[in-house]
Amino acid sequence: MRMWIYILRRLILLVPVVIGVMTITFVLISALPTSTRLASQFGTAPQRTPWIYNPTEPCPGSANHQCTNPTYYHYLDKAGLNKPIPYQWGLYIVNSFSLNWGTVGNGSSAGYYFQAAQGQQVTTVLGWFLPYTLELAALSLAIILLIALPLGNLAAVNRNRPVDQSARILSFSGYALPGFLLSSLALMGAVIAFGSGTGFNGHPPWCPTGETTFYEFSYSWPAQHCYGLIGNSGYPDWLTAGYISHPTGFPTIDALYHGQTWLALDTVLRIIIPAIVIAFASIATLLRFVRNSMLEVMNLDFVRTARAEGIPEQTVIKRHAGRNSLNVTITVLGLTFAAFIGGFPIIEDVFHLSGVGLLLALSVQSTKGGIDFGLVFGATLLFTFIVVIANIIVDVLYAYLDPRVRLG
Amino acid sequence: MFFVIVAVYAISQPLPYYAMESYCGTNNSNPTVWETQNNTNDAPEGLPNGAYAYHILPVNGFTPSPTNGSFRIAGTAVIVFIHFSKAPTTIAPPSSLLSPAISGSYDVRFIETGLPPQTDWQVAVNYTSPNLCITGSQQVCTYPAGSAVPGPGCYQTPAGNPSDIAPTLNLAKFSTGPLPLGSLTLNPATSSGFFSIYHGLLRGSDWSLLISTAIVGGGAIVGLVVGAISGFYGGVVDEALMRLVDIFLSIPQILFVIVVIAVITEGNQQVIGLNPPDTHIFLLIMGFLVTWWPFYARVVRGQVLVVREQKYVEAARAAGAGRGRIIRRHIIPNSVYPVFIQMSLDVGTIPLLIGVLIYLGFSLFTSPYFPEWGAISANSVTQLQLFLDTCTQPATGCVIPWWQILFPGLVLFFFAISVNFLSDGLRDALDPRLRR
Repeated sequence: MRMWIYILRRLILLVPVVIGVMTITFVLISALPTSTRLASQFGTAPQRTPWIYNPTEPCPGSANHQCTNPTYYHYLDKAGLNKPIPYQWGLYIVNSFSLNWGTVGNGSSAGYYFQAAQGQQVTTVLGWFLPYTLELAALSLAIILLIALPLGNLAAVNRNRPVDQSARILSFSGYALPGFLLSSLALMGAVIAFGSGTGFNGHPPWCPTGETTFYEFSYSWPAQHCYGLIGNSGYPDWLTAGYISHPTGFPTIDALYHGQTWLALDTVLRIIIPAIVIAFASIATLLRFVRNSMLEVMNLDFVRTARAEGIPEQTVIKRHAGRNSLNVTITVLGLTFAAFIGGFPIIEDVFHLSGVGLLLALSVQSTKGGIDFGLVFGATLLFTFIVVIANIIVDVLYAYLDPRVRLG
Repeated sequence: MFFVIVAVYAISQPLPYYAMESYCGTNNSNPTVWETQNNTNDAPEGLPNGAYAYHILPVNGFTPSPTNGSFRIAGTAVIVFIHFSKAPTTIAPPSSLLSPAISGSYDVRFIETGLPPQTDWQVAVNYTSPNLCITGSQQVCTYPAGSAVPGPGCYQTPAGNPSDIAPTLNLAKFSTGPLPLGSLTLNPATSSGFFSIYHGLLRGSDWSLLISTAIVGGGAIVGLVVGAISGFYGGVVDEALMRLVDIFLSIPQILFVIVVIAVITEGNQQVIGLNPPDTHIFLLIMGFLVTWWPFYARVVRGQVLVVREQKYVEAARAAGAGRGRIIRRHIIPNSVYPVFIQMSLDVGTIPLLIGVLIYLGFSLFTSPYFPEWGAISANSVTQLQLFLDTCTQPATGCVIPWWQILFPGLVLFFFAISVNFLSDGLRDALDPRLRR
């Protein structure tokens, strides 16, 4: 019962934080030129007829009035941009909560590479891509917990021994090397390790016509020609345009749902390397904290008592001291979750995984048009929500593991 | 002390304007800038003091076009004429051009370049520092006449040196010449525009240290003040400030910086009256700063909560010291050392974050030649990606350009490692409990 009250309190405290984040994005959106704001909201930018300052002819090409495009004012009215700022702010908050985040334009790299997204609602498009990111995040979190906890404990137990030193080097390199460097090296390593001559590059069961190693280890799905669809020459019906999968949206689950076991295996295979690379940076941070907290706990009275009782050393480390490092892991994970999420655009860009991060990376590029502000702000809100919800989960877990928190 | 020395050193150095070539150089004004000027959508109907307007006047023999004329930006009108002629001659612009298009004072500048003309007169973006392009100083990165290869100010591979070839680590050569760290082709399609990794890394130390220390130092000052106030006063103040910290902590840093720079450069190229490269760097620093201070505020608050219960604070209060004095003389000096440690850890990560922004294809600096460690590293990795795209069969004889990755990566790595050691040393030196 106490637990539910605690969770409810945390959820109520969440509201001002979310509204604050929305206020910050609102301030930033307000700094945009009007035409850009309209474009991010409606997908098209109705232009006011350019008005050139010339004393002799105030309104070139027309009479001395009616310089502007009527639809411009129509959209201006529709977006509420001719209303006072507090009203606009309220409208923005309401729109954000009702998931009306604007429309994807067709003038950015995101619209260029994902044609099906053009003109769609931002929330719809984010909904297509979010499952890929969640699957990747789940896998990398599992890797983090599986590696950081035992390794941290091991380093603490073998203090200043070779295990500890190598854990320290691992921690340093995860901290000092940028994600784009690591991920590119990992992709290159995979290409070299599994490249031609290693027997891997032939004809795997899921792609009878074959795929090069580079494509086998990037992209979320196998190439079009792998599905064995004759005549249709494309993706199966449940995989629209190669990235919108049905019914759940999660690639592995959908492949299993449609009975494609090999394909499901392949979707996991494609995200193993990126998940390891993402996990690496978080492991670097976690290792230190786990090691330090273990060192502290190992000197406490109850550990000494347990030892004095004659409990085997392994049990003392696992049951008595090790439980404590789980607390620390969860706290540090919660604190660094924003940085963890911030690493996704890079990884998904390098490995061409069709997640929200890639969408964001493409929407800020100006190679195929301008910046898609609808997507940029949508992705920012989404990432912020994910971080906030993750923090709540961390708090609840922490309260569950440490009863003192709930009582305090 | 270290940061003071570094900051003083960095500020005392003349800032190299390597990024100027897109403004002084090749063919016309920066297209994005021009687009902004051309955007009259937001100009109020009554105009004269409006932000975006230009006045096209007929020039002798030329049809009016957006590429010649004058314009006015945010109250300060600057007119820049660029004269394109094959031979460097000084031709005064026609008097009709000089007739005041806009009432008020404005600045007129003339630039002669030797590039083949498209139209005779072109308007460049306004920049307020005089003579940057006219004098051929070593600091300026420009394109020489009729050449697509940038001049000596850009850190390109010197003429005569082998380019895009693996470096030969000949230790005997170290005393006589620069370290042969190899070079990097920026545009493999035309195989033009390669730059020397050695020179880039050398000149990048200025910028990287300046940007990192400015972000971390500014963030620490703000965080220290907010954290001290929040921890000392407690109650409603603490609650409000910590909610603010929560808000800023839940926005992912990289995203926030991207959004800030994208929004402001989209809206107005000349935000604060600085030169275009300066504007971007200023925005970069401010964007990072806004997301950086909450970490320090949290650290300081935790420390202050401990310090304010100490006996010496009580003694000071009993002796009649005011709140401001207690905060200044007792609270802050005793809760500052965790910030120093956190600062020295954070300095090493900022070039990595800048590299991430560059790698995402976000045009952070106005030039691909901008010497910043993270940017150089990101450029090298982009090259590696191109390599992976074009050479999928490395077993059959592709040479992997290892030096393009290795040396910038090493510089970043050693930078981060050394500030990490510095943080360990600071912890030992500053923590009063350890000092005893």
